[in-house]
Amino acid sequence: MMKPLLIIAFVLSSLSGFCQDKYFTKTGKIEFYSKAPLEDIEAKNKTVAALLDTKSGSVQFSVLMKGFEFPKALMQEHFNENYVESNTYPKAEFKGTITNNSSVAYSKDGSYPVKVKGQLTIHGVTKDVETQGTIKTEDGKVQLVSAFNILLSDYKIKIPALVKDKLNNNIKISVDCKLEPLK
Amino acid sequence: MKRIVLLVVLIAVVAGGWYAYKEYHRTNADLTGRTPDFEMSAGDLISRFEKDTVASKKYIDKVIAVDGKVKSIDKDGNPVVIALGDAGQMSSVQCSMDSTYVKDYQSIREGDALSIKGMCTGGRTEELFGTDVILNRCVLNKK
Repeated sequence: MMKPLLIIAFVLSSLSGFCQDKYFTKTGKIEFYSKAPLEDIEAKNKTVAALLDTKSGSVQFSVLMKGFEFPKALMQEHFNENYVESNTYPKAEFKGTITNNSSVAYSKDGSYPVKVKGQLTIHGVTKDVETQGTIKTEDGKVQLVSAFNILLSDYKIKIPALVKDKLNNNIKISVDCKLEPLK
Repeated sequence: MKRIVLLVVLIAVVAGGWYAYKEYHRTNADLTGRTPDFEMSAGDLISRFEKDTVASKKYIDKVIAVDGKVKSIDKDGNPVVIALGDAGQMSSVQCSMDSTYVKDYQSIREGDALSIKGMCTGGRTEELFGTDVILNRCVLNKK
């Protein structure tokens, strides 16, 4: 009598091992870049948290603004104090879905073009964002790569009048996160 | 008299220019020689951020020396990120390491006991992830 139950339990437990649908990382990378007459601005952060549910295609990213490192200290201080006001708005977040999730074969190694739609929150302002990216699957890991542009003015990030013509309102954001199965 | 005034003005301009130049090109300070503002275990720091997000603000923008076991190390890309904490838990202290000393991190393995000091940039709590405290520009803390 016990045997069939045990078999069922065993089959179920082994199945759950195969049905891996959540992937995550805490060391994802986000960089941003802006080309401007006064000077190019670039910064990077490699402590991005990312979570992907391969079943539903939902994806989210969260990053601490103070964690962005600039080559120049003064730029980093201005970024935190005057532009993104990171004491008041410490986190930036993206929550969205992969709209063509069904076309990604997560269990097979490969590279898949994807479309992502969701909400991006920076500086306390939430905006709809739509972008394209690539999902690469290899050795049970899932890599999410994307790049898109945002306007500082959309997120109420003010450029001081003095440098208005010299800084670019358009910022390129690059995302590169390698996710592992969430156990 | 005019000459002295002119000289003073000249000195002021040169000094001001030199200061502006230095300030503009200043890079983030190397934390190697810095005395930490706080010293504690990774578990302690995580629980302080877990318990009270308001009280934990006093650690932000401060240099913290953290002791703990290496939970994971990500050497893929720049900078190297070392997570300190309990292997059985999701929460950790994420240490984004100073790339100047990248050679020193190559021999570090999971499970090693380490002391790392870095600038605290804050904490984040996510439902599935636990609580992470993030330190930037980290260096190995030689006691």
